[in-house]
Amino acid sequence: MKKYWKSIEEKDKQPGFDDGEKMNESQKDFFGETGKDLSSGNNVTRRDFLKVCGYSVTAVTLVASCEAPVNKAIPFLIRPEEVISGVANYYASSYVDGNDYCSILVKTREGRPIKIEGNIKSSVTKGGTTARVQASILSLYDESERLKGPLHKKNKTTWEHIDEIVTPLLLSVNAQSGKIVILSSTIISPSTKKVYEDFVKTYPNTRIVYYDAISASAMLMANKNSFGQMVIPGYRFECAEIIVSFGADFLGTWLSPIEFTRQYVQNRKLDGKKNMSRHIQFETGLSLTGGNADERFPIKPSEEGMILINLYNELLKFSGTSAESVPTSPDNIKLLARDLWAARSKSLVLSGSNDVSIQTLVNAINVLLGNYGKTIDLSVPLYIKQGIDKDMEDLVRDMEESNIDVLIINNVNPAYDYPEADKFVNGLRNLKLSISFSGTMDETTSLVNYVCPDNHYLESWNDAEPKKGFFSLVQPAINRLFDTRASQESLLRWAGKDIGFFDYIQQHWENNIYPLQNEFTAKESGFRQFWIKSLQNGVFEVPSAPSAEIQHEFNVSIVQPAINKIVNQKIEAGEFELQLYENIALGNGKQANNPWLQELPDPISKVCWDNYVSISPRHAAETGLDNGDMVVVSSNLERIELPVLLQPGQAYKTISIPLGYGRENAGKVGNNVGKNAFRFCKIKYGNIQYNNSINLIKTGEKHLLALTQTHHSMEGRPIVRETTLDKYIINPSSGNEMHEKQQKGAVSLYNAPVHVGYHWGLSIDLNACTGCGACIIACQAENNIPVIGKEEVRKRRIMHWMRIDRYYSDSVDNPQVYQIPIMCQHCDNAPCENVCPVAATMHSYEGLNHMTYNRCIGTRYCMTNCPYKVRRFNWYAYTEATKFDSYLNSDFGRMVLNPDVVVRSRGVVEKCSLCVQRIQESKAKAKLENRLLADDEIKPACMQSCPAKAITFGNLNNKNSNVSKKFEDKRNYHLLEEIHVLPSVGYLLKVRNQPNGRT
Amino acid sequence: MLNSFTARNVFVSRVLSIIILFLGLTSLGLNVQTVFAQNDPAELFDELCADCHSIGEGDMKGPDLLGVEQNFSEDWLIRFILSAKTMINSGDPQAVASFEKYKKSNMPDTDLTVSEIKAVLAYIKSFNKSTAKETSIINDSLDIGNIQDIKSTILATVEEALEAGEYEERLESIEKKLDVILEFHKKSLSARITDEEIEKGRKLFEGIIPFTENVPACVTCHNTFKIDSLNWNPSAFDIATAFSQKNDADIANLIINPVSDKMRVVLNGHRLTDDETFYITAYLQSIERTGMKEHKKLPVKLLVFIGICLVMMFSLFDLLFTKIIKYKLVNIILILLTGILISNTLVINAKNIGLSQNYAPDQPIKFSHKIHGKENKIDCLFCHNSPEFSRESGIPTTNICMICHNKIKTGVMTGQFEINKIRKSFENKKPIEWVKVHNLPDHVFFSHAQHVSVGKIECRTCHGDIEEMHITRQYATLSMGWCVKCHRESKVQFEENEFYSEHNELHNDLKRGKIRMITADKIGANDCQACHY
Repeated sequence: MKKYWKSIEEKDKQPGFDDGEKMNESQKDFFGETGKDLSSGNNVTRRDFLKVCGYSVTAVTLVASCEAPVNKAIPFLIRPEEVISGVANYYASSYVDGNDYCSILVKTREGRPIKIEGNIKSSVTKGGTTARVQASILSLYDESERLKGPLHKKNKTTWEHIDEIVTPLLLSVNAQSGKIVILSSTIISPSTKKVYEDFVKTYPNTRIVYYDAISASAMLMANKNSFGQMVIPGYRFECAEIIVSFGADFLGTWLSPIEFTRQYVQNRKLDGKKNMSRHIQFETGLSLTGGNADERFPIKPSEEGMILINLYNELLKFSGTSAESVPTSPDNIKLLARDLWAARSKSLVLSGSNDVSIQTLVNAINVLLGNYGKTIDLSVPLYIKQGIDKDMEDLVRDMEESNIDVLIINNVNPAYDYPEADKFVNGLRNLKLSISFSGTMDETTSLVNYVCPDNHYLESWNDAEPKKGFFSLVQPAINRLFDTRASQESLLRWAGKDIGFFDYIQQHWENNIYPLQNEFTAKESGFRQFWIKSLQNGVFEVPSAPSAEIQHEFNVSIVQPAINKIVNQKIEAGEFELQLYENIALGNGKQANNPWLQELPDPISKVCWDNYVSISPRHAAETGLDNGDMVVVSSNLERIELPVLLQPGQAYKTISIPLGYGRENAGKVGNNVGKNAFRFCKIKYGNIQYNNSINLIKTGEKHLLALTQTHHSMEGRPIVRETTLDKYIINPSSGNEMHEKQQKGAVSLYNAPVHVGYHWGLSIDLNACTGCGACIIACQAENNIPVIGKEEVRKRRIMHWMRIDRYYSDSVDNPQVYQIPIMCQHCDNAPCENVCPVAATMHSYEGLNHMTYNRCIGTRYCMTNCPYKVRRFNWYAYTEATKFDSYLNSDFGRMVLNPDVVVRSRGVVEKCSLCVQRIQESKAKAKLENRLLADDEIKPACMQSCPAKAITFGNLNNKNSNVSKKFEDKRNYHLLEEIHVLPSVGYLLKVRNQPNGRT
Repeated sequence: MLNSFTARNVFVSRVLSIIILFLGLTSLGLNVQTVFAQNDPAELFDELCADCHSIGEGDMKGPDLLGVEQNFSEDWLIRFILSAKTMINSGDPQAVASFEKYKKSNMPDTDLTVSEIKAVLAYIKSFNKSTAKETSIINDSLDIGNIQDIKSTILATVEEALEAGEYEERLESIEKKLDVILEFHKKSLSARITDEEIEKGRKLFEGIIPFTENVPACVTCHNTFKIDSLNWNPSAFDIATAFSQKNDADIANLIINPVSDKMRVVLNGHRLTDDETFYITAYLQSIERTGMKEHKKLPVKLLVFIGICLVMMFSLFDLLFTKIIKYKLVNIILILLTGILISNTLVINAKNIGLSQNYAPDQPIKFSHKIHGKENKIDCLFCHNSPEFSRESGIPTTNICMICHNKIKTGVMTGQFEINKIRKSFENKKPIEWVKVHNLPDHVFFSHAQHVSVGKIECRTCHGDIEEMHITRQYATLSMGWCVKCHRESKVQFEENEFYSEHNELHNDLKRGKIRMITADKIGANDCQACHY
């Protein structure tokens, strides 16, 4: 059997490996370390404990004879028609935050939003979400950091006052033909764009600059040069047989990950099929996408151009044209070119680079392969990123030279994330007037004169068009919590338009979008019906006739100059090549103050609450670096100190640092977590480059990183099972021989379990699961799971009910990666149930392993006896914590709690319940409606949030249910089935498409 | 000084408004008498117009009619009232404009005669006059400093206005009222209320000092302590809080000239002297500040328990040392007996820890399920309107109360006092803060829908004979044992509900007669996470 490992220490030291840190932990004075009370900060000794015990026994006796506390029941004064106490309402809306888009349903209870679900009606996202979308609901209740009203030079003011000052100022600036600039994130809202236009009409000297922190400017430019269209094309991963990605993390963060994940897994799932797509990834740091690839090649950022030139050349040879003269290609590029050529018009080549030359070359390759109109669609472009770096560069220069009078900043934070932030900050001082619409006091906003806080998106009306013809509406799910105003409304008012933004959107839709459909045509009520339907669905998609593919003329003449440019690029001096990337949790750092996201472990490194320098283990060994060593990362201009993390799969002599950390004005949660690496981005070749050359110097200090997976060892058992497509086609149960053996040879001393009516089961398709972590946050939001902070995570006390374990195999330099979501397995012979002295965990009639918090006395025997280590213990009462500020200890933060799930108190064990509250709710609903439960009716939070639809839930007693069919699949296996605990959770083993074996 | 000055001004304007209201009414009487005899226009207005229109109290469904005669000609108004629809359809610009303004709500046509309409219009007009006068007089009088001067000025004005002698009696009563009010005002201005006065008020209220005019003591009807039993009359604290927004003069006036029938009957024409009124008011004010006192109850149970313990200890002591009782058996029996009693008490008390059967807290409004449910036969679901489809049964919102209490303003038992609280809640836009009777712990999930709609269990099964309760009381123990017991005994609608059609084994067992019926526990109702999640 293959050797699997989860950390480098383990790989090297097996068997009998000792985690160095674990040793330290056990040597620590147990009481001294853990006795610290989070809520009081006092040391609790055994004596104190006994005293408290004695006191409480006496107190209880006394109190019991007294009266119960008086609880109030305060009804509405007038109940709104649609609000029924105890029944949830769902409103279709959209999550739009600069470059992120997701069509969603907002679940509200008694008028407050408590959960975000994917909207199945959108054909862009099809009900999928990401961790950031799931977590965005918590930022609504971020009472301590959200601005409560408009500010003038950090002093409270009123909207009337702001309008009285700003409008005449704008008018006078405009009259003197001064320059006004709206600096905005990408706007995918057609109505907001129209607001901008109206503003420009009133103030003709206005310039609009779109700026993206993580920019795709080069792609836009390259497509402009290549096809005369400054767009990002739509992709169709489901049509591609071979996907070759150069550093594009399209499953995690690149452009439209929810949509791409959905498309990608369509061709990776093997439901009855015998074929799947092949995915090859060239990249520097090990990304989520790289971890899912069939083959992965670690490269330096500087090598990308040359590889692409070689590939282009090889393909040219196939096409019969004379090749350009370039350095010769390595063999595997020839093989790749051959495969790509064989899959012409069914392949896809991508690059995440922000270099126009490279993107031009990628376009040329795709043109050569005939992919346009097949896997790449220029007629349905993505509007997700519109920022042109050149515009921003010009703006900053103009600001420095005092050529700008007024700057209106909307939803961007250049003082934090612009590579030349200092220049921008200097330029801000030269302005007559600076206005920010930011809802929080971020780095940029703290420097402007007027702050006009925008509503949270869950409080706003808005619309969106993430992709041409795919419209979507944003509707408020709660009244404004604070005295905020929609940015569009502010702009309209200053532009002299006396109209609310809601009416404005309706007008825009009536005039521009309503005519695009022909379902509603009634003269008078037509638009109203159309509007209501769109609002109810959350989306409106232009019914497109299967259009004849428009052939786009490719400008071949630009390819040679691009190649020349790449060849002539000089690598700057520096020990290492640095790659900067967005990570899954924080992205560009906008939601850095969200504790859920901060505690979400990185899907690959499993680190949370920090950013770090990923370094290849080979190189670390050479330079004597180890995990947690602090190093100074320095380029010619910048230097920061960060801890080192040995990351298998990191390209030799390169390092990677996640962006989005090191915020200084994010708020109490996000401030000074990690370091800001945006400083290392550089503007080169006209665009922001997310790589650089740097030096590393060891400081000798140690930093403690919070890893979530050192304490989830499965000790070399056959947890990961896999096969390759070739073997699978020959024998569908290849790689899963053990399962059959177990099924046949199983003997049990226990009676066979009986399940009345229902036997709930969950199946996870490991071929579809990418490991993105949306499910973890969805579970956290649904089940009121506390956030515990870095120190507690380091003590291996993380509370997530579901985790995604990541295993490596093969070489340290370029390992294969496996992701396995693990939650309570709901064993029929559950080991935890036998050991509970107070029967707090019991088996239900329907096969669930029930955990009863109010019975639990916290012996933690069950945790010890659980073979999967999925049980969590409440070491503290996190709702009352004063030392660690998470969301649970504030009144606003608690508004996000799900009233159908109890908040666990201190000293209680908890674990995944398979969302029993949802099961009960759906069952009750079916009983009320006097009908059978439909197969796909119950969706646990993890299943609902999954963009890959990797999770299936249902009734195992019904042999026709989806989950039963998955359990019958030859690929199905259970974790640790050899111990015969009979889990109700099954896994479909991973199949990789590696036709030539491992290259 | 400044304070007292403004206070005086406020006072003056209040006095004036009393008079002017009176004036308005009398002048109205005159008008009506001279013009019509058929129907009282005020009644007509209440009957036909008041559902949608007010006079001087703001827009309702339709516009506020105060001053309507100034904006429209009488002729136009008459035509509009006769048939608004015709006017709107004919495209009359004014009619269309107001139709648009009031959300296109149609005013129904009326079958009034022209003279009746004229009467109603005159009635509306009369309001406008009074307001106009009120403002003018107040403005005039603002310069006058001395209260006595004001009084004479007012009287002069009144006299002038009334002219005729037949109103003299009324004039006298006004004068009397004014005297009382002025007197009272002087007192509260000249001296701060002292503790002795409050004490005197308390004694008067509690009947320790009798009233001069043989009026029964307040305490015979109004509690001054919290009590367990039901007293339909408002307690002293209730009265005090209800009065808290009124000024002293109004309170004094209310005590002397009560609005409620019951008070009038009790007072039976007798009245309190001005001093008595003052003391009572002072006492009520102090109660509003300090709150009601608890009755100190004797802890009988505890005393009995201690007594038993003492007996036990005595017998033990006697048995071993003093040996006063000759027969040891007596002592032994005593020890055994008391031992059983003590342990029994302890066990019972321990068992009831955390349970609150028969919990019947004070509610902010003396709401009786008996009056509503039994006597007026209102269905439970009319007010508690969500148990059929929600986990919660739904505490009625104020607007539900107002469905009936918009019209029903006097209660059988409580008069207007309690119902006024609902109206006040509605007017002040403050929901009523009921006290929860049935408290389940946080870790228990209970769904009404599951039990009411699916299980077809009647309300009374868990809530008892609620329609017999004046004070709502927790009928069941609501302990887990109680839940689980019921689950074991109650039959599930197993064959009736399509939901269970896939429970094949149980259906087979039923057919084969292996089990007689399906109880809730057989389909998982007693699983832990059926309720605890």
